[in-house]
Order: sequence, then structure tokens, then C-alpha cells
Amino acid sequence: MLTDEQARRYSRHVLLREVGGRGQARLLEAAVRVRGGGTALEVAAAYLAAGGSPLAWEGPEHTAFFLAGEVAAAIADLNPDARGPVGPEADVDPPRLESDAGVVLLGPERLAWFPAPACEDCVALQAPGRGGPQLGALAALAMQRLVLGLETEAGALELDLAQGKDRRVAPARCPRHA
Amino acid sequence: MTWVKVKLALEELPSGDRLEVLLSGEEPLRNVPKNAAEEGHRVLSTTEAGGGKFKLVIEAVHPRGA
Repeated sequence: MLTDEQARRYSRHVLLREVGGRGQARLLEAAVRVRGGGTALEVAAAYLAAGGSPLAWEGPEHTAFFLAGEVAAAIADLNPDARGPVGPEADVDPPRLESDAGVVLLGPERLAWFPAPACEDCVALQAPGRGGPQLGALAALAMQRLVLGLETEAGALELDLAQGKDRRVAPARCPRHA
Repeated sequence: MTWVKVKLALEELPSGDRLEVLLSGEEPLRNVPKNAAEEGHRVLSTTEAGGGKFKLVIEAVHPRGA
């Protein structure tokens, strides 16, 4: 159940049929682990924080979008609901999604999502790359759709920056999971 | 915000339960019944409650599995 303040803060999400109050409550409960760095990841983190999901950083210092060392403070300022376990040095063990779902950035123009955990081999099929803000926004949306149960199958998106379009493609999986 | 609060209250009710809402002002009186119907709920009645307020009765309807 959302507080009055949260109902005001997330009123636009509540109005969306796919989200509503229950969906927003799920976003607020879904602590998201963020691994790595770079512009796309930090834009994704900003969107997820704005959506109310607490973030747990695992990875190097971030320099691309926010100033180094100020990510945690920036996110806390952005939305107090996302204040939770932020900061690369945070000693936390946030609750994980039941399915351990995840979104992986696979290059500057591609991302994949997995409702069930992707094994190391699946992820290693393509070297993680550093995309831009557009990829970050799509990554946040994919993560939120996983949390809301709107994506139940693994999938991938390829972004055509020149055309400003994206299209769904088959996710890269290792032979064991293909 | 009126519809947001009504929508949140309807989400908490099981299908078939009724919600009574006191509304004042033209905009909520126009928007709340319209939005409730668009989301699949049943608007049962709108009656004058005095003091420029109206009582709206809505029956919650949730699709199966929701």
C-alpha cells in the first residue's frame, strides 16, 4: 500500500494500466543490483531510482554521467525511496528478485533481459560494452518490465542509433541454454 | 489526484465489493466515473449528497488473475 506522499510522487505510474498501485509497490520493493559503470548504466540507474527502486552498486567508480563519488548522493536527492542501499561501498545485502531476473548490456547498441538468471557463459558470449543514454533508458524500462512481470521470456533489443529505432532480436545464449 | 486515490482504493478491493466516494467539484465528477468505467469497474450510482457533494458508488471489477 502506497503512502499518500508516494501516491502523489508516483501518480503518473499509478495511472498506467500496466503499473497501477500494486505494480508501483513492486518497483519500490525490488532492490536492483547495478554492476559495472558507464553512461548507459548510470542513466539506467537514474531511471530506476526515479521509479522508486533501491539500488545496490557493485563495481568501479562511476565517472560518465554523474561526478565520481557523487552517485549515491545524486540518487538520494532524486528520490528518497531509492535512497536504500546505494553507494559502491555500501555494505548491504538487498533483497533479490524472486526470479533473480536481470538485464545485461551487450554492447553499445544491444541489451538482453533474462527472467531467470543467465549463466556466466550466456553473459560471456558478448563482451559488455558501453552504450549511451538511449541504451540506458531502454535497459531501465526492460528491468522495470521484468519486475512488473510484463516480460516472462528472455529477450533482446538492438538499437539503431542512426535511425533512432530499436528492434527485438533473439537473445544470445550459450549452447546449454539456447 | 482524486482518480489516483480512487484507483488505489479499488485495487485493494476484491471483485464485487463496492466503494463509496464523496466527490466535490466538476472535474472529479466528470473524470472519476469515466476512468472507473474505462478500467472495467461498474459505476452503480451517482447521487447528490448535499453541500455540493455527490456520492458515487463503484463496484470493483478485476480481470481474472489480476
